[in-house]
Amino acid sequence: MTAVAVRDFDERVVSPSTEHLLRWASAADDYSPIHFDRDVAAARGFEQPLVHGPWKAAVLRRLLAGWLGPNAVIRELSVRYLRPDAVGRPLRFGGRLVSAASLADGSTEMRCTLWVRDDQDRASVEGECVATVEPDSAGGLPLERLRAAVRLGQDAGTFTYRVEANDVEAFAKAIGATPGTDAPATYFGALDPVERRDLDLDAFLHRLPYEMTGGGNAFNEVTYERPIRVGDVITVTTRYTEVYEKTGSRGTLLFRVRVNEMCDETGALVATSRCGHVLSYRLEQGGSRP
Amino acid sequence: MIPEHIASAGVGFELPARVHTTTAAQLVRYAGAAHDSSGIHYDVDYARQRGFDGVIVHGFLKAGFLAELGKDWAGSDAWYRRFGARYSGTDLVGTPIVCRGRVTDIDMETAQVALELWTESVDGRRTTTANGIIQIGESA
Repeated sequence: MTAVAVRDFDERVVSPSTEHLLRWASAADDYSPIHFDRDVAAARGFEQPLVHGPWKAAVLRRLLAGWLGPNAVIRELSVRYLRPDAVGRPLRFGGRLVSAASLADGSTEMRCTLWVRDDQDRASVEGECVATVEPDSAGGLPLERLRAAVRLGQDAGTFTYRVEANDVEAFAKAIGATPGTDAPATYFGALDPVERRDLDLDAFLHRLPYEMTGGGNAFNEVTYERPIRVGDVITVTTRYTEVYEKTGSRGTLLFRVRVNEMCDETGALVATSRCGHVLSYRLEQGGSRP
Repeated sequence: MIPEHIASAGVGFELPARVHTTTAAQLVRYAGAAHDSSGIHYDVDYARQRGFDGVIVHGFLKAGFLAELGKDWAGSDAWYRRFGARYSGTDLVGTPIVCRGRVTDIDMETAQVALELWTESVDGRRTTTANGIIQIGESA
């Protein structure tokens, strides 16, 4: 974790017009008359129609995306509306980077405070945001970063799973097999730390600034020394062996291949599996994901 | 010992096909049993966001259907030495998946039977192809 200096983003002044509010009312399907009917506003004690709170939040979010840059994905954003604002009065939108921390996968987690102030410097909106900023990937998939994140060629993690009768029975039922003492041949998939998300080293691939057009397992292979059985205590060691990209009909395909060694409680090898997973991206479309 | 029904079937024999028509409940059951929590198998909005036409069947589940087809045919003392599946296409939940297989080798000496197995969707696509080597006899 590395700390960086607190800094303010460049404030922007926006004066919400009636047209802004009408466009928002239509887009958000919010026709509450307080936002466009002067008489309704007057009856509620306001001189002018009021600006929609979510419009202020939306402007703030758009500015925030610009402040953080195209490699940022806004993961959490919360705002509180503190006071009503009259249409036509200028509002100042601002934010401050409060902390930035490097994450193990090479990205940076940024925390910001945000505000909207009126022309008398009164707080109209306050908020906070958490964003993940990906390092520049120079117009392509960050293969070197991925290789480092998954510790290519080295042991990436070791997990121990008990093979319980109920688990094997549930698995057999789910694939339409007859439950027995031997687990079905594809049960090795249920002992895969990556499928189980016990090992999740490449989650940042879902936050790259590219449209993801598909993905899933490409292949699964297994070699058994003996079947996995009820009562086994299996220790699984995962090693990523390949990370590469290919161009396909659905865009650029990113493959990761991993090998799992499964040993029983005596240390004897029970099975070795090889699993390939693919994600496809459209690289030409940049910009941050929604 | 290779059982008589395998020996007499011979190389090239086609296993009796099976059809699996999955349900949403089955996919959820499988997701739970396999500890596979990916939303593409139960959350239609997420699946569409990821570029699929709807909720898709786990490749691993189709591999399971194929592995069981071969094992059930081979007999009660059969187990897989090797099994591998490749996923070349997706199947949407609720569409029939035809599971087929063929004997590609029989080794009387080692009591091993090699199979190729595949799934066909109703429009004729082979969405999963698999190979297995089944060992006949007691395991260690």
